[in-house]
Amino acid sequence: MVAINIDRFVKRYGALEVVHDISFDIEEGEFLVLVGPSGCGKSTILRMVAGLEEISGGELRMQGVRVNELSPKERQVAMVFQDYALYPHMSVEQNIGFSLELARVPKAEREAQVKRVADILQIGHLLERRPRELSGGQRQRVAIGRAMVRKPQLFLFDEPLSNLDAKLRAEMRGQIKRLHQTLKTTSMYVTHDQLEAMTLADRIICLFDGHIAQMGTPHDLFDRPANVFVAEFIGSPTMNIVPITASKAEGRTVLTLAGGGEVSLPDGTALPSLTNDGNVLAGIRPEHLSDTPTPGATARIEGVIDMLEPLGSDILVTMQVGGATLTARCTDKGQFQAGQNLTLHFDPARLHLFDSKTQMRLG
Amino acid sequence: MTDAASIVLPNMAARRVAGTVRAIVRTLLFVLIIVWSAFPILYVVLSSFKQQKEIFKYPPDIIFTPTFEHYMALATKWTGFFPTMANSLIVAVGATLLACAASILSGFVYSRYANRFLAGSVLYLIAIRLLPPIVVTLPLFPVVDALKLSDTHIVLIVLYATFWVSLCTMIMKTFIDKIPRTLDEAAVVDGATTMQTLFRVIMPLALQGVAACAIFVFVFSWNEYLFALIFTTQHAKTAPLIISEVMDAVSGTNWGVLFAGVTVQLLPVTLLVMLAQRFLIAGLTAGSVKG
Repeated sequence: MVAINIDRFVKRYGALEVVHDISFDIEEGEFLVLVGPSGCGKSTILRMVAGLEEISGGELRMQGVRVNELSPKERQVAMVFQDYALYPHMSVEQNIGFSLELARVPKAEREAQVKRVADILQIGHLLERRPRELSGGQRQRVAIGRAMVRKPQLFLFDEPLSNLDAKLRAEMRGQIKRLHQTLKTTSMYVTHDQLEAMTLADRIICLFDGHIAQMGTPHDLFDRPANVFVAEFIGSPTMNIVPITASKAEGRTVLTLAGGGEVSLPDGTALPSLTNDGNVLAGIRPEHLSDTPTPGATARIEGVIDMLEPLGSDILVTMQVGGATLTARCTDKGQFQAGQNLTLHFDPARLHLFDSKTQMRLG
Repeated sequence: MTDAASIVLPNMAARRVAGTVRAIVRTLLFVLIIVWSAFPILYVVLSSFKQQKEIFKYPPDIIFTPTFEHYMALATKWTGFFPTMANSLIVAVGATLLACAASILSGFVYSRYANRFLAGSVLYLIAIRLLPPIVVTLPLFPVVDALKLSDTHIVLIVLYATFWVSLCTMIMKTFIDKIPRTLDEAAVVDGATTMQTLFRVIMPLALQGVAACAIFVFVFSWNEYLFALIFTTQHAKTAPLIISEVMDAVSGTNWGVLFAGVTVQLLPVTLLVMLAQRFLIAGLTAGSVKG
């Protein structure tokens, strides 16, 4: 069942249009993540849904009812802000209970509600403290508690983990995921971190310059990126994208790199119909390149190691090949040295091809 | 290593000497400023406890037997003085409350909303402070008379508050500017109205600004002479007018009583400023450095 319906959203600041005709639905209980680089319009869309920004064009429907003109309170949304936005002069208990106090909920009931939320988030022992006496992670939990206590129809998260250090971010990410699995409240989450998007989302909308670049499950975006932007944005390290020319030689498909290097694909490799006389962009993820032959039909590519970045068990190997730079994620057994020749293998099925002009996926 | 040390050491010694000289000059300057500003006050307060004949003795006595005769005279011969202090208090408190209430509201509007009208009106707010008070006093006289507000507490309360509301608005705006807007947004999402956001979230965080404004208005209203002289005659007369009457008495100026009156008049504001000194400095420097 559709809980939220965003229909042809447009946002203008004077003559400047920053969100262009965007439409999507959020299913009941779904965790939807809006991801994209700074300035792509993701936070603006979230704030339009929250009621903090006026909707310049289009319609917002909740449970089928138009809510464009309603206040945030009337829309029954709760929001977790990037900087937590906790009231510094109030205790944790007052912060969480503020919305209930404004709604004139009797004191006893209010206290019970605050306690319920505090117990779920394990912050019961912090209720008397002020925000300045809390750590970053504790503040974040209070901010989530403040949103939870209202039992909203829709949870909105505006980059809630971006102020935390890497370890705490991973911990809080897990907590938000568990919380959603327990509460199953419809949620809309904004982040610029593709890892957060991949780990949390039921569905991701990847935005670019106020447009939807791709919408789908995390697997859809990772395995079948719709365009070069999504291919490069989703996944870390980023996908290798190189301009190539595909041609047939002696019945085999040969990919010629711009700088002259060649990759010969095994017999029977099926490529989508190519555009621009075979001048396309080819993409392969670093984790799909291997220094050892993989079983089955593999393609090979040869080059010289340029740089090594050890990650612990794995190592990122950057290789110069035919004027292009490729990065491979390999198992680190101390076998690599800068300047050394290297042959990388990959499964041709893992190859992504994009139109060099429109940058859209082929096939 | 030794070369480096021999190069560094003389420099360090020179820097130490320069630092000491700077500290001495700074201390001397402070002492000079304190003496310059505290001397008249100290002279008045000490003189109020001296016998009449000792007041103008040269060189003045630092050590003397204190007397309260001037304070007794102030209470018995100038019976209007203490009741007019009550008037001063009513007017000062009233003006402070009115100016602060108006400035909190207008400071919030100037901080959180922006349009052409607001941008233009800032100029008028500041311009009004540039006029000498006498310029507005005379045209006000018939207005006050027509409204039958002459010689009332209300006229002084409204005038003093109006005179200060522009500067206090700017002080409040500066304080509210420093409060993150996401707090307003969090309150709105929590279901607060604009007024609830202002009074439950913004104002508690801008209390330092409110205190600074309150002190400015209170001290001005407590000491103000010109408006009080023109718009009051009997009922709403404030203490500074009685002090001026002591000075202009037909029997000649009784300097002892005058100094006693001034000392009593000084006490409440001195206490207030001492208690709220940190708020005052915060108000004076609001917006001068990036937070």
